[in-house]
Amino acid sequence: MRRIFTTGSAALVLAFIYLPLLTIIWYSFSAESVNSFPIKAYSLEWYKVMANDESLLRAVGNSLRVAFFSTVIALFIGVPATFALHKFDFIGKKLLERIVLMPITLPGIVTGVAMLSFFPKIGVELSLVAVGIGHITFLLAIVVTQLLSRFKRLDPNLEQAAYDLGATPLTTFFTVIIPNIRTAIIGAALLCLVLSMDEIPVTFFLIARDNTLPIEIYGMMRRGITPEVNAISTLIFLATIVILILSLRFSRKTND
Amino acid sequence: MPILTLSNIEKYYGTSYVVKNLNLAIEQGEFLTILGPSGCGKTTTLRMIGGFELPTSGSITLKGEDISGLPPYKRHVNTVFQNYALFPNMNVEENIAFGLKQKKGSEKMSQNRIQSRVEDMLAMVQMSDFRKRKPQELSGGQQQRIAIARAVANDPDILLLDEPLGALDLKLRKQMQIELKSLQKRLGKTFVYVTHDQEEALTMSDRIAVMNAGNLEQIGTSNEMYYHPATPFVAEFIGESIKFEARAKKTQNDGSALIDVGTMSFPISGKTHKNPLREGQKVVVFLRSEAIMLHPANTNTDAAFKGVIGDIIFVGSTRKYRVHIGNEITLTALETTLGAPQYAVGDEVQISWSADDCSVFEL
Repeated sequence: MRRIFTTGSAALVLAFIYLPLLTIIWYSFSAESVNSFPIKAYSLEWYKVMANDESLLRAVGNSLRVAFFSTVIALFIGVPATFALHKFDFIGKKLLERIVLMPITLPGIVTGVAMLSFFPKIGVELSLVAVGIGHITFLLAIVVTQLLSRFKRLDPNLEQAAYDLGATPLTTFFTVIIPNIRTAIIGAALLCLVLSMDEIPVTFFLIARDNTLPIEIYGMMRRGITPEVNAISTLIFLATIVILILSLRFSRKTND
Repeated sequence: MPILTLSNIEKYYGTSYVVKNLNLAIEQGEFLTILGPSGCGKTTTLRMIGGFELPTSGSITLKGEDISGLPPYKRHVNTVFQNYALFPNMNVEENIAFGLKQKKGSEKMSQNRIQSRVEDMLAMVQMSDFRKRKPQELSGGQQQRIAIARAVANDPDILLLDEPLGALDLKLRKQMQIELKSLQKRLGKTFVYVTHDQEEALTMSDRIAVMNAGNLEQIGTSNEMYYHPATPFVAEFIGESIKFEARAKKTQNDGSALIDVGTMSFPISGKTHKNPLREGQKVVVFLRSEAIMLHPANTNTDAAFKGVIGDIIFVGSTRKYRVHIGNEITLTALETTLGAPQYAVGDEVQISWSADDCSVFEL
C-alpha cells in the first residue's frame, strides 16, 4: 500500500513537470498549423520551416556567441578568483563569498533594471556585449559556488608537494591545481552555457536589435504558439538534456 | 659543521606557542628522528624546515646559509608527506619527473637526463614495472615508494619525512622501516624523520630528539634515550615503565641510596640519577618492565619484594605479568615465554631488579 502511494506520487510529480514538455515534442511533429488534438497527420514540416527561418537562426547564433564568450570570461575570472578565495584568509572573506553569490538570489529583473540604467552611464551601449556582461555577473556566481566546494575537497598537500619539489606558485596552479579540478571546471562551464542560453530577465533589459534565442521565441509567441516554436523548443530541450547529463557526469567524476 | 641548524626557533599561533626556544644541530648523513606525542610540535618543526611554516622568531641555517625566510620551492630540501600527496593527474613517471622539470638556469636538465634519473629512482624503489600507473592504481605501500622516489629524485640536501609509514599495516611498516634505513645508509643522505611511534624511532635513528609540549626534552642515540633518559617525560614516554613517588634515604657519596616506598625500600646505584640526592628528598622512580625479574616464592634470593600475580597478558614472545606488592604498588613484568618458569594468577612470587635498572628524578 505504502509502496503504491510513493510510486504513485513520484509519477504524479514527474507528470506535472514533464507532461507539458512531452506535449510540445509531440505537437512539433504535427503537420497542421494549429496545435489541435488528436493529431491527424505527422510530418517534419515545422522543422523545415524552422531551418529556413533566418531571424530564428540568427538568434540561435547570437545566443551561442553570448553563451560561449560569457562562459569563457566567467571561467577566466572565476577560477583564479575562487582559488584565491579558497586559499587566503582576509577580513571580510565570508562577506565577499556572500556578495559574489548575490546575483543568483537577486531577481533577474532587479539586476536587469540596474544594469539598464548603469551601463549607458559608463559608456556600454545596449547590445549583445551588454547582455554578455550581464550574464557574466551571475555566471561568476555559478563558477564560484561550483569550484569552491571542489577546492575544499582538494588535498592541500598536493599544492605543498609541488612547492616542495621546486615549482613556483604559478607553475603549481597550472600543472597541479587546474588539472586536478578539471572535471569540476568542465561541469561548471556546461552549466554556465545552459544558464546563459536560457536567460531572459537580464537579457530582456540589455538587448538592442539583435535577439537571443529565448527573446526571439518570446517575440514569435505574440503571433500565438506556432508549431515552429514547438520544433525549436524540442531541439532546445534535447540539447539541454545532453549538456546536463554531461555536466552531471563530470561533477560526479570529481566526487570520486 | 652541522648541515642544518635550528637556532632559538619559536612558533606562536596568536598567543599560544607550538614550538618554544628550539635549538637543534643535525649532522651531515645522519638519520635524526623527532619523536613525541601528537601536538608536541614535531610536525610544525618539520614544516618550518620545509618552508611551509615560518618561525615566529629564530633562524634556520642549511649548509651555512640562512634559509629561515625562503619559500619551500627555493629550499634544497624535499618532503615525503604523511598521505604521500602524489599528483593524481600524473602517472608514476611524471610524478617522479615533476621536481626535475622544475630546475631552471644552469641546473636545467635535458629530457634525456630527466628520463635516466627517473629510471634510476624507479629501480631504487623497485617500482620500474609500475611506471605508467596512476597513483590511484597503486597500493599504499607502492604509493609510499613512489613518494620517496619523487622526493629523493631532486637530490635534496635533507630529506624530510612526516610520519611516512603511519598509514601502512604493521607488517609492511616493519619492512619499510628496514628499507628506509638501508636506503638512507646507501644514499648517505641526511634524513629528518617525524613520528610518534617510539619503536620506529628506536629502530631506525642514529639520534632521536624527543619533544613534548613544544620543548626539546632530550636528544641522543637510541641507547642513551632508553637507558639514560634525561627527563621524567622521556623516561615515561620511551619503553614501558611503571612510575611511583618515593623518598631517598641513606644517600652515599657515590650516589647510591635507599628508596623508600611506603613500608618497603630498595637500593639504587649512582647511575640511576644525575644530580646527587639529598637525605629525605622526594623523588619519582621509573622502573622498566623488562628490568623486573620474578622468582618462585620458595627459591632463595635476595629479592627485595614479595608479590602476588594479578593478571597475565600473553603477547607472543613475551608474557606480561601484573604483580601486586602489598596494596601500594602494581608492577608490570615482562618475561620470555620460553624457558622461564610460568606463573598463574594468585601465585606468590619474589621480585627483584638490579640497583642500576631504574631512573630516579628529583621532584
